[in-house]
Amino acid sequence: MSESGFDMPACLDGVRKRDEDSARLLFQHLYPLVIKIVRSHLPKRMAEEDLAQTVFMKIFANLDQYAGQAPLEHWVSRIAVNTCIKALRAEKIRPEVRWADLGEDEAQTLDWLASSNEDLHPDRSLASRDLAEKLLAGLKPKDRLVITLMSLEGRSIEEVKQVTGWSPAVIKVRAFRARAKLRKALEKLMKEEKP
Amino acid sequence: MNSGNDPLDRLLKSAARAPRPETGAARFALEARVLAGWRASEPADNGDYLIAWLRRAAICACVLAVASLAWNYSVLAGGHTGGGELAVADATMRTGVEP
Repeated sequence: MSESGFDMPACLDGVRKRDEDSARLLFQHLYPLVIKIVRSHLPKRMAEEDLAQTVFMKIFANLDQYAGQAPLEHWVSRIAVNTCIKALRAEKIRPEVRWADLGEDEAQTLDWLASSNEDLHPDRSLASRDLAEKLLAGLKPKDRLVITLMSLEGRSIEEVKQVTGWSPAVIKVRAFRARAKLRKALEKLMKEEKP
Repeated sequence: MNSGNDPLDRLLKSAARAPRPETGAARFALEARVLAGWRASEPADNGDYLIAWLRRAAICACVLAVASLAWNYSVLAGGHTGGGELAVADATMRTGVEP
């Protein structure tokens, strides 16, 4: 039994025997993990609850295939990440960000980045996140995923490997290329004339 | 403090500090939708099992039918002449033995 009093093997056994209380418990246990991944990799025009529902339906439908060799959270994370990548791929348009698309706070943040070498003030973190997400929306889903996991969530290569199933070499190469693309997009935006 | 001249590093560093929305308790509506979908999947699973079993049974029946046809091909094609030869042998034997 885990520290929180949640008995994972018993719960999984209950779900396999079609016990609804066990299914509810499993949903509630996995919800914070799934919703966190969904929010980090949500396509622009999709409701987070719809994507979370798709993830949970896949989890329940494939639960018999979970052999228990890896922690359930890793298995669930991989399903959630792959579902998000698939949803992001379906988003055909990846628009380039322009000054006109930025809010006031994001524009000020960009101004600061262009005019100073100092770190941004902690008050600017929300605007920075919005600006980063707009730039990330222009990348391919896998590039976006690797930057979000490593640079925004601070995950290690080993953690990214567990979530995605990619080899460390693939992760490093993809992260390097994704950062180069993101840097190019940011520099282009900084050089653009303000409207 | 300065984290280097790269604007991207500074942007991502600042963005990583942004507070994340609380995951909170599961929303009731989502929980209800997921559990309803899970309940609805039950008959489909049993149906899948039955269909798979019937498919295997049909394949076995087809294999048996083809093997049976191959085994009796010569009889069905009418080329079996063993009966006539035995009749001639019987007649020869009877003629030789009977007075």
